[in-house]
Amino acid sequence: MSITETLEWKLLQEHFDTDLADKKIGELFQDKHRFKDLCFSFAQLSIDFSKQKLDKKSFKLLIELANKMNLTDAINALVSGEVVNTTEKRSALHTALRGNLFEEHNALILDDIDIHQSVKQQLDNMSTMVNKLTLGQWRGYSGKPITDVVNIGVGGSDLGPLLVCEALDEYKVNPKNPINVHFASTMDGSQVSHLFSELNPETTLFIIVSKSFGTIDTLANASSAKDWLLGFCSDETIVTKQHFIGISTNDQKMEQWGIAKDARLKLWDWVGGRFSLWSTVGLTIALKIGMDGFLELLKGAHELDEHFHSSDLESNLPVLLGLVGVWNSNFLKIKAQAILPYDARLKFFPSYLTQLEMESNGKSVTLEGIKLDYESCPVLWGEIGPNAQHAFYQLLHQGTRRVACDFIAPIKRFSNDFGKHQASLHEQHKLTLANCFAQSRALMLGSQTERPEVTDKKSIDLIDLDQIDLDQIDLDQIDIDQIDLAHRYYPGDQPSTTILIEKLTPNTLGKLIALYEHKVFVMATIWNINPFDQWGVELGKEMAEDALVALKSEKEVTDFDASTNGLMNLVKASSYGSDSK
Amino acid sequence: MNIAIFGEGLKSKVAAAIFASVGNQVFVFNATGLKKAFDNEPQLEALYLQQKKSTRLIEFQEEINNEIVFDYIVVADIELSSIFVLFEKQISKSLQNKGTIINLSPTEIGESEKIYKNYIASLKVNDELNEDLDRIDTQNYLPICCIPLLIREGRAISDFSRPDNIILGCDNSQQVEGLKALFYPFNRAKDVVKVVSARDAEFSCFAGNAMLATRLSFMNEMADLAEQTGVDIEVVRECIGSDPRIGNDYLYPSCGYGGSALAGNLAKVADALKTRTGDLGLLNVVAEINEKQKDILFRKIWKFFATELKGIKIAIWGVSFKPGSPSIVAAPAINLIDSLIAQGASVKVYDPLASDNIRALYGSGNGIGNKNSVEIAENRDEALMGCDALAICTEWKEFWAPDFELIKSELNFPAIFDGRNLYQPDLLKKDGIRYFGIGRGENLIN
Repeated sequence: MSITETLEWKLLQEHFDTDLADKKIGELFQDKHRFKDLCFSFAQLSIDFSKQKLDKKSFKLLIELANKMNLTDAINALVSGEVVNTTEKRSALHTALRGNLFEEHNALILDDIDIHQSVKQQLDNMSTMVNKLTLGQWRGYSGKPITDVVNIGVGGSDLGPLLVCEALDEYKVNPKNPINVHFASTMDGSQVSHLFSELNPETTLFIIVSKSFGTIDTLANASSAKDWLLGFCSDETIVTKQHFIGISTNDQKMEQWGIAKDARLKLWDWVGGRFSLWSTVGLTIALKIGMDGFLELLKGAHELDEHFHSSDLESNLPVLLGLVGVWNSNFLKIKAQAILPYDARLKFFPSYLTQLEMESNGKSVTLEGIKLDYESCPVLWGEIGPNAQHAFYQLLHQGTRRVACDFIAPIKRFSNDFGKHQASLHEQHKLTLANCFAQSRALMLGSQTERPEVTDKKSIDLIDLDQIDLDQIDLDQIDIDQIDLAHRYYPGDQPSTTILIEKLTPNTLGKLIALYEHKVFVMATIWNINPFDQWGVELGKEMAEDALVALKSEKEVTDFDASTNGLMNLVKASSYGSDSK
Repeated sequence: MNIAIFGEGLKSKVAAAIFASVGNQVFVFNATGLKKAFDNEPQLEALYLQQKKSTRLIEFQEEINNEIVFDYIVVADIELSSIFVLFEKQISKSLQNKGTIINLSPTEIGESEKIYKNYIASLKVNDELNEDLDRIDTQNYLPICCIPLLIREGRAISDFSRPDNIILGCDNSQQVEGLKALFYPFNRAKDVVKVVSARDAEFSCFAGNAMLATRLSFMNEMADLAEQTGVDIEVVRECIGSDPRIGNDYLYPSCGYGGSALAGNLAKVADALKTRTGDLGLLNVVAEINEKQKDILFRKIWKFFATELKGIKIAIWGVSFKPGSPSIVAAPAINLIDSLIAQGASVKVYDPLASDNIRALYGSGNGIGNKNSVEIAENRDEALMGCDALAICTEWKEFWAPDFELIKSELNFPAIFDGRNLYQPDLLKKDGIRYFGIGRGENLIN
């Protein structure tokens, strides 16, 4: 039976149709307790849902829906290592990457392996590497200490560490030999080639991060990196031994590539790429903010895991965030979600969530393989809020699309800046918060008037204005003011959630990311889909193989559709095409 | 005059012996051991003992509780601030009786003034009711003088008693005459006293140090270039050293200078000059080149063994930062030892004086290698036993003419990595020993 046929779903639909469909969000604030009732906190996080188009009853019914979908059982199954990734027959134990480090738990055995022990072992190995690098004892081919580390990975092997390294820049440590971290992900080689021109081969090390160690984008970049180094030191054994670290589930492939035994870090099948920053994939994070900082990040996430696992659904932040997502998608029929951090340190958070949410929940069949008869993941995008105000907020305020927004902001900022500019920076932060609160309010309230009526006749006159001799027109007949008002009208009623973080630290960032990870799982559970596979990315990869063969061959391309044939033949016809063979 | 001497090094010993020998009553504090200061100074040792016998020189091990008031308190080889902590009573009493402190080893520009102000502030904290203290004007009355004498090992007596110049850094005109009188026995042939402010004297001392460090780092950079171009840096050193504008001193390339004085002085002022990360400061570069230079023997060994150092054992001759001293503070050898054991190699070290300090540092492991990675040999030749190659970090006299046959037969890979350029590359080549000096000998490419 489809979820849409359940009583709980129907009750929600009925509740929306009768109680909320004709109301504007602003009107719901007649309930004086609304903020108190709809703003929830855990540790240093507070989430205000009161600017969403819902009320206490909506939450009550949504939780009944969650119960119908056995959400509590699903959460237990997730954290206890059950095979929740059904299509790949795997667990999804990202919570184990940050569990048991801070308190003793029962052993978690999976395929005869004690997961906690295994995680601890890899963290120890990672810590040894961090130590060696930051003490200046990891040497390049010429014997000089490594000073720059380039993370080569794509998707989850790139976005997670990139997000955290950028966000926690102010927490970077200053060891004896500080390591600069860089990221290269793009298949086209533009990022690595830029780094080749900037960095010193003697002191640069590359971390190849690929769960399968078969990701073509990553291996192409790694191969160029090796060739770059071989241009300076011709001994391939030394180059691969001293300048590459591998992070993968596939030890054999790492060995084949030449990664030295003690330069390999292990991943596990039960960690999805987009959930992997907590594992050894976070090596660059630990290099930047130190092992202690990295552990603090894990600790924050672990605290949120505990909250997710043990709190009642009614006060469970990731559960509520996920249910609101479902509500907006399926009952308000909103197809787009914007992520708007009011803190430039979180500039990669929207990109990170783009992958986390859309790769997880961009699905159209149930766990049982039946085509969904309801919407799943919305299109998600975002940008640093204050900058987005000068970009796509126009669409949010006056476009034809409904968009749900998540506003994210820290309460405290610049507590580590001293001197005269501190006060000025504090003022900037207040300005930023003021904008954050004003935008969500403006989106919700809009003009607070009726939409100005402009009759069709006058509109037509306006369109033809260019062709008409202005002297011939009786201006009194056209209600210029009214047209002007129509252009300036804000419909409002755009729903949003605001997340306030006490202060951005390794701990709270860990919590924020874990919050969204679990939100995604909650939504997938309600939608009865598998958030842990990503079969959708395979077809294009396969087709690229044939395309590459065709592109490399001398012959004219005729085997594909006319469009693809035509494009490839254009490339071949140009001199660049033949140069690049 | 009653003169107290604080410090335990060559400078303090020579000051004590010579001030006593010209008739002053000298009290030497904290005279715990350190016979080593006399190692290269047999005549000084004789003079010192002679003065001690005559009782013009009396040694004390710790703070004393008698009524002696000192006219001059001479501080050398230790930080000026430390004596205010260790000998508070003596200092206070003497200063109250218009005594003068003479600092022979300044470590910072403005040190005299800063330390005196701190001293006054501490008195005010301890004794709020003492109104006299409030009347002390540190602007016009500074009883700490700075006289940065140049005392070189092996010629300490003549350096002290017949100096080329005496920079008398003194802010208090009333004290100048007394100080001149104190140094009069050493200033007879012609007047070499130059009276400046304490700050000027401190600055001159620092600027001198910085110049010397700069010459060393410059030569190290030249040595690097010499290696790349196949030139022997020793030949170049002799050529440019004979230019009277340049001179021969402090032109020896090496595996870096260590110790706290030169590097510390340099770092302090370099930091003061460097206000933003992007500032181009010569002295920062000088210091950075030196830090990198400390890594140079490791890099040569790294290349020699084609990056495979696990299980390799290196003999190291000399660990102290300079001959004649047991100090291993910031010594290049420490950098080499740490780097080797981080790669899984082990070392067998010999140093004539530094064994205790090495044991203290590595006795319980240093967190990188395991604690058995550092073995301490009793003598030079024993250090070679069972080792793969030899590295030299300090130019102790006993290393200048070793038994090359023994080196060749004991080492598994007869190779010397010489951080002090003690030997002739051609001769070693004939002996069948591979030789890697600083800017001379074989050069290893990547």
